[in-house]
Amino acid sequence: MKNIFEYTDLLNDQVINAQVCIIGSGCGGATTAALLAKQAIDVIILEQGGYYPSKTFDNRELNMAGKISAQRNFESTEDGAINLLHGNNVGGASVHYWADSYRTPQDRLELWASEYGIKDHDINDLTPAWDELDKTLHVHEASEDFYNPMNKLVRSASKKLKWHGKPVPQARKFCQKSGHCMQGCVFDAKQSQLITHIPNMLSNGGRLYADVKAKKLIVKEGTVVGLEAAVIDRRINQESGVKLTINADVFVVAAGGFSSSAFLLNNGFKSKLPALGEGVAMNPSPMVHALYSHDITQWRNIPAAYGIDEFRLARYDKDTYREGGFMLMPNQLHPAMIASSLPGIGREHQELMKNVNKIGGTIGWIDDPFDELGTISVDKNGKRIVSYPMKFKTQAMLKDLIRKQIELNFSAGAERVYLGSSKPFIFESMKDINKLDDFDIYPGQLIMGAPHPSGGCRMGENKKTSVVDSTHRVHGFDNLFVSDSSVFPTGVSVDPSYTIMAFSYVASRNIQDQLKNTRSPLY
Amino acid sequence: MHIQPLPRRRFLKFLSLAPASMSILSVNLRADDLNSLGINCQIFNSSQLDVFIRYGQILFPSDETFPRKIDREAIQRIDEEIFFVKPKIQKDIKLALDLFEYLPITYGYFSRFSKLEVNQRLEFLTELEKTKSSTVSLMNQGIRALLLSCYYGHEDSWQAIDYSGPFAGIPEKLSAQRQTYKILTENK
Repeated sequence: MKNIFEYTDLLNDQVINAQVCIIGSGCGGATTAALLAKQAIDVIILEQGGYYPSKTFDNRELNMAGKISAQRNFESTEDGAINLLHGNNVGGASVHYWADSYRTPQDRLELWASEYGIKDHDINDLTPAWDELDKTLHVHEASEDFYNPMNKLVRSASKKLKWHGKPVPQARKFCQKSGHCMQGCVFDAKQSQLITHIPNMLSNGGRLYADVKAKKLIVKEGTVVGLEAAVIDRRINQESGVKLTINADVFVVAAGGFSSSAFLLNNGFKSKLPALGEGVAMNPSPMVHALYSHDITQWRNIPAAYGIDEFRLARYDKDTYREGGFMLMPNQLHPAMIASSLPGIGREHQELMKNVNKIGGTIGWIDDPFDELGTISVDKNGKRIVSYPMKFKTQAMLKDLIRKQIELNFSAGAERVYLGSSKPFIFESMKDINKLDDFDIYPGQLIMGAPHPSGGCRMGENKKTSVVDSTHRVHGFDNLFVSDSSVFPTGVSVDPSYTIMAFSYVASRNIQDQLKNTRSPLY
Repeated sequence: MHIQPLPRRRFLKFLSLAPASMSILSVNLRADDLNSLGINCQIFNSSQLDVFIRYGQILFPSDETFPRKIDREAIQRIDEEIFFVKPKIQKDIKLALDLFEYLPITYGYFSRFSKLEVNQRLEFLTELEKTKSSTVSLMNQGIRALLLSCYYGHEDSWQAIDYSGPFAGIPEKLSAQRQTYKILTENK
C-alpha cells in the first residue's frame, strides 16, 4: 500500500485520519514516529520539505543545498550575523549532518534537572535509548583509516598542546569515505533519519506526507482536534493551493529548533505561554582556514573522527569568564564554501584557491551562555524572526574559540591561518595572536553558521518559564506534544542529535500513555 | 585615492535617500554590454545584475586556466539560487545590491559602483575590507559570498583548482526546481 505521498500525489483537498500526527521528520519527529509505529500505532509525518532519497543525490554543493537545506543556507539571524543551518527535507538536518553521535554529558542533564526542573530525563532514563540507538544507527568510533589528514593533524596537535580530545562516535555503516556528509550520503552509509527511523516507521504501517506545511491547529477546550495544512509545489517552492485537514488523537510538533516555536507562535500561543520563543541557543560556529605545506584534501573521508572537548565547559574566575565553553573539530568543506569564506580579491584569492588542496582548518561551536540566549518571534505576517544579539560573554567565548583554533592549527604545522571571513584577518604565526586583542565581533565581521538550534519551547514545570512539561506535553493541553531540540532549556554542549533522539524515546512513551487514555473517535 | 568615508550618520542618511535617487538615475545609465552576456534574470533587475557583473570582474580569477564562460554562468546561477528562497531574503539581497551600487559615493568616488573603472573598483573593494560598519560589511560579505560560491560551485572551475569533484564521479541530477528554472529562463 502506498505510504509516501508527495506534491505530485496531493492534487486535491482531502481529510487525513491518524492516531498520531507528527509535524517534522528530523531526529525528533522521525524517532518518535518510528517508536510509535513499532507499537502498531497509526502515525503520520508531515514534512514541509521534499522527499529526496539518496538516488536523487549528486554531491554538488549548490544542487544539494537546494534539495536538503532550508532556504539554501541563505537565511540568517535578524542582524545578519549568523547563517541559520537547518534541514528542509524528509530526514531533516540529519541528512546533511556529520553523524557525530555524542551522548548528552551528565553534567548537562543534571543542570537541566536542578536549574530548570526537568524530570525523567536523567542519565539512567536515557541510557537504554542510547544503547538501542547505538544498534539502530550503527554508532561506533572510527578506525584509523577513517582519519583524513586534517583529522590526524587535529589529534596530534591537541596531544601536543595537552588539550583533551577523543574519537567522535559516528553513526555510519560501510562508509565509503566520500566526504559528502554535508551534501547527503549517496551510499546510504551515514545513518540519517532518511534511511533509519523513517523506513522503520513506514515498514510498520506509518505514512509520510512530504511537501506539506502545517499551518493551523484547531483547538477546543485544551484539546487539539485537528490541523490544517497546505501542500507545497516543490517545483516552485510555494503553496500549490491544495489544503489538507488532519484529524488525530495526538499532535506532535517536531519541526526543529528554528521552527517549532515559530509554528506555535503563529497559532497564537504566546499569550498563554510567555516563554514561547525564548531561550534560543544555536551554537554559533566560527571557523578558521589554515594553509599547510602538504596536501590536506579536507573534502574526503569523514568530517570529524576526532573532537577536542577540553574546553567544553566554560571556565570562570569567580563570576568572570576566563576561557572555554566550546567544542573544537577538524573542518570539512568543499570548494564553494571554502572560496566564499576565504579573504582576498582577484589574483590574491585565485592563488589561494589554486592551493585549495593544501587548505585545511578547524571549526568550533560555542555552548551559548545561558544568560545571553536568543529569541524567536513572528511578525504580523507570520514570518519568523530569529534574534541573537551577541552580548559580552558570547563575544568573549567566540574570541577565545578563534584564539584556540589559531593555536591548534599552528601547533599542527600551519604556515598561515585565515579567519573565516570576507576580510583579510591573516595570521602568519602565533606572534600575530595579539591581533585578536582589539578584534571586535559584529555582523559582517565573520562568516558563521548556526548548526544546532535549540530552545524556544523549553521544558520545565513552571508555565511562566517553560512551554512543555517533562512529559513533552505543551502546558494547558492534553494531546499536544513537542519532540525535538526546541524543548532543551540550553544548548547541549555537544552535537545534539543523540540527545534529541533519546528525548524522543521519553516523548513517545508519554504519547503512548496519552493514547491509552484516549477513546479515539477514529478507531 | 584615499578619501575618508562618510561618518555613519551621514551614510545612513544617504542610504535613506538612495532608492529615490536611483529611480531617476537608473533610467538612462545602464551598461550597454549586459545583454551580450545573455543572462536571463528572474529576480534581479539590470542594475542589480550589473553590480554582480562588475564585482565579478574584479573578484573572479583572471588566470586563463579558468574558463571564461564560468563568469556568466555563475551569475546566472545566483539568480537561480535566489529565485527559490523566501521573499524576505530576496528583498534583502536586492536592497543590498541597490545600496552597494551607490556606496562608492559615500567613500568619495563620484560614481556608482558599476561605473567605476577597473582599478577604482579594486581600490574601492580593498577599502571595504577595512570598514567597521556592520551594514557595509554585511552587504559586501553577502554579494561576495554569492559570487564566489556560485563560481566555485561550477563544475568548470574544478580542474583549475585540482578539485576532483563529486566522489566516484556521480552524475548531476537536476531537482524539480532546477528544471523549472531552466524552462523559465530558456523561454524568456
